[in-house]
Amino acid sequence: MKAVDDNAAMASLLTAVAPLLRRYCAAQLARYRRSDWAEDMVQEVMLTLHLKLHTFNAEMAFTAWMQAIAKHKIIDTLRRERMVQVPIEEAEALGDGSDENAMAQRDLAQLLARLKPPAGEIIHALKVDGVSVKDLAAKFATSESNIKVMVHRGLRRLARLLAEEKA
Amino acid sequence: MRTDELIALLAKTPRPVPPLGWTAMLTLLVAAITALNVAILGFRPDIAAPPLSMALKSALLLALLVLAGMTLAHAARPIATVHRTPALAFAGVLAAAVAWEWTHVPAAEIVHFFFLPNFPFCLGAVTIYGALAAGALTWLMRYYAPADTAKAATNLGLAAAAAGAVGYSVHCPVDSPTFVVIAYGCPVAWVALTARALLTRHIRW
Repeated sequence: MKAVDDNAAMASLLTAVAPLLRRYCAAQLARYRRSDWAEDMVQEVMLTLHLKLHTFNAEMAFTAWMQAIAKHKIIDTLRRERMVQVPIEEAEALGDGSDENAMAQRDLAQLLARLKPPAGEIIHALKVDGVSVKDLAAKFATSESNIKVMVHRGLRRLARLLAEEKA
Repeated sequence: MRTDELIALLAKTPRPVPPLGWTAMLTLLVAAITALNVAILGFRPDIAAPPLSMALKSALLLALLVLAGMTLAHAARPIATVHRTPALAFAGVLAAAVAWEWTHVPAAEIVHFFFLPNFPFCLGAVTIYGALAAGALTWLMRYYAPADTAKAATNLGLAAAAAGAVGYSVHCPVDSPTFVVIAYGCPVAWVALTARALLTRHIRW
């Protein structure tokens, strides 16, 4: 009779916590773009809850205990899959002032300097600084179509230069 | 398998038998280490009429074991709790015992203990017994769910070495608090640090 009661209690406990676990796992995994793993994670956490039930005691809040197990399992799975999350602050820092970014800027300046003037300056102004064709035409005292032709030829020459460097 | 099928299956599966408690395990380990130590090295010569200083040494080592055991039991749960007050009280008692010794016993007499063969013997024996106990505690920890495996491994090493120290102390005739702090404290510290370095990966769950 006691075993039947225990089984029913376990079934109702797991049924009650399933939606909570599903929400928690989905929210945590979404940060790693792995929401699709949520259901598998819910099942793994349920299995662990069953096996480690003896580590719960009445002094703890059940939800906190369950979330601690879920958190551990999620971290463990992500570690196994070698998923690394970079906090947004760190990602911005990498994008802003990294050596890689500075090197790319230097490479671009060197390549543009190898074009026939003022093609390099025009391409930089148009593609990097976002100056309009109309403004460039006024600045260089030429027609808009001439600017477009210079940009087109300049980009073709840049492509050739890059291909030569790679070869 | 769908989640509702898993729930039905888990509901029907008998609950796993809870593992041995930490108090029971540490008691067994101390008993086993003491028996092994007595079988190999024997009791200290004055065990029939132990001096008061031996009682103090035993009390300090037992307090360390109880403290380490409590910390280990807390670290073995998914939500670890830290109780600093007992550890601070223990450190205070230890410091008071050492201070009392240095104000009441000549320094040369205290330093002399470190030139006895007991000193290296103490370092080695506590380390070996601690390592043996750490193996048993690692096996038990696999049935638990520590929140932080690195901290749990450190606590495991601490408790194992404390059990080793208690077991060995029935042979060691030196009761000087300074000697106890250094000759027992060093192996306890390095067993704990080695456990952190080597056992963390073995207690993942």
